[in-house]
Amino acid sequence: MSRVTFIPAAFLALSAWAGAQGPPPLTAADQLRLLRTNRVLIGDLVDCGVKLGVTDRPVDRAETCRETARVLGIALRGAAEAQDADRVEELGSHLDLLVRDGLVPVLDEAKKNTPADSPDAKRLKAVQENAVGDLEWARAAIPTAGKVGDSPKVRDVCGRLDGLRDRLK
Amino acid sequence: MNCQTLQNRILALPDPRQVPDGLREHLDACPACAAWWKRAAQLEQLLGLLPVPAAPADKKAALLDDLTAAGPVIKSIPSVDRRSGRSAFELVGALPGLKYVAGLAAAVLVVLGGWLVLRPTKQPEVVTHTPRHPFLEKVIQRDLALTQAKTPEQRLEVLGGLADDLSAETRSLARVASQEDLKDLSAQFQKVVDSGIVPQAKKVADLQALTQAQKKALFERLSARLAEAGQQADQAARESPPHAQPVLKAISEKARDGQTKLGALLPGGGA
Repeated sequence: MSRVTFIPAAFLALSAWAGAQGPPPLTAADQLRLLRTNRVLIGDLVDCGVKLGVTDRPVDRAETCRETARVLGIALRGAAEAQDADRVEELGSHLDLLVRDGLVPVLDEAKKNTPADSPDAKRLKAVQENAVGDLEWARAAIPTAGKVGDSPKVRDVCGRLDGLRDRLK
Repeated sequence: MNCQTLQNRILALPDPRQVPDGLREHLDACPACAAWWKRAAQLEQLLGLLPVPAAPADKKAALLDDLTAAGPVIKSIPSVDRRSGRSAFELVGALPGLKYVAGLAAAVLVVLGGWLVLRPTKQPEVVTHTPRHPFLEKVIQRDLALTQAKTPEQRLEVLGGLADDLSAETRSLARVASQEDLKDLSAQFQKVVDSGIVPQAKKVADLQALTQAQKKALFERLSARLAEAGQQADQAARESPPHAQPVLKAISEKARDGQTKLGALLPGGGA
């Protein structure tokens, strides 16, 4: 009797353990290949990071954050043109995260602390308009059908990016 | 007497041209039978002109008897030698239910054959999966943290983390990457220290909002991170191929340089 209960229990435990392991770690060759694929993007993102690290004024921070999102948008367009659905999904998710949790709050915070008729307010408005334009520009490159457009993950990312555009407007 | 009976009787005559009186009456009264009799007489006359030996007088009657005799035309069936025992089909048919199984198998074979012939010949697409890049994700997370950081000291801490990430990635790829790849990473590490950590540390050093003790603690933490990055880069250089060693040593030197500059920012230079 104990054997009858032990074997399924052991099987279930092993299944749960295997399911919790997540994706296998990348090989060194994969790591290197991805580094080469993302070399320019990583260089630009490190530049943006350094700039964000030393910028204190809200309007400048909003502008730098918008530049960071634009860098990701450029890479996203490249992935869409290369018909790489996995990469479109990956970069689209990063763009969604950066705009949703980074740019939108920074813009909101900057607007609160900037007088409406000041030169900084005009700059902020321009940053916001440019951010919307950048997002639409990146989003437009993702095809609506075919290998990339038909991917459920890509569709999900597109839906999130469309929602962000409305939040930025 | 009808026409068919008359014609049969004329055909039965040894010579159709010599018609007895009993039949002559019908011929005189029936133009159709008269015309038929004339053609039969002509045929008989033409047959007589053919250069063949004359048949016996009773041959015609015998032949007509044979043709009009009752019974099958084929009177014997050729026999085929058969092996003893039952054929495979008979055996299959004899077993209960087996003929249905055989029929089903035949149907499956027909469907399979049809599928093999009619299936699309398009080559299957090779699906290549591009894995996510963990290092890219780390850099994005650092940028996001830098965006969300409210104070200069928070940004300084995040910059320290970005430097750590770049140093660790360089070390992990030292054995497989080319010198060019490694130089890129090393240059980014140096940029984070020179253009990020050191200038931001100078701003923090001037902040009135932090006490000297807070600043000291912050710089010491950051200095310890740089020291660790430098030591790990030195150790990796000893275990790496020759082309990677100068790159790792450059990271180590930049880390020490950053430590020195951070130390100089504190009162008394004691970081």
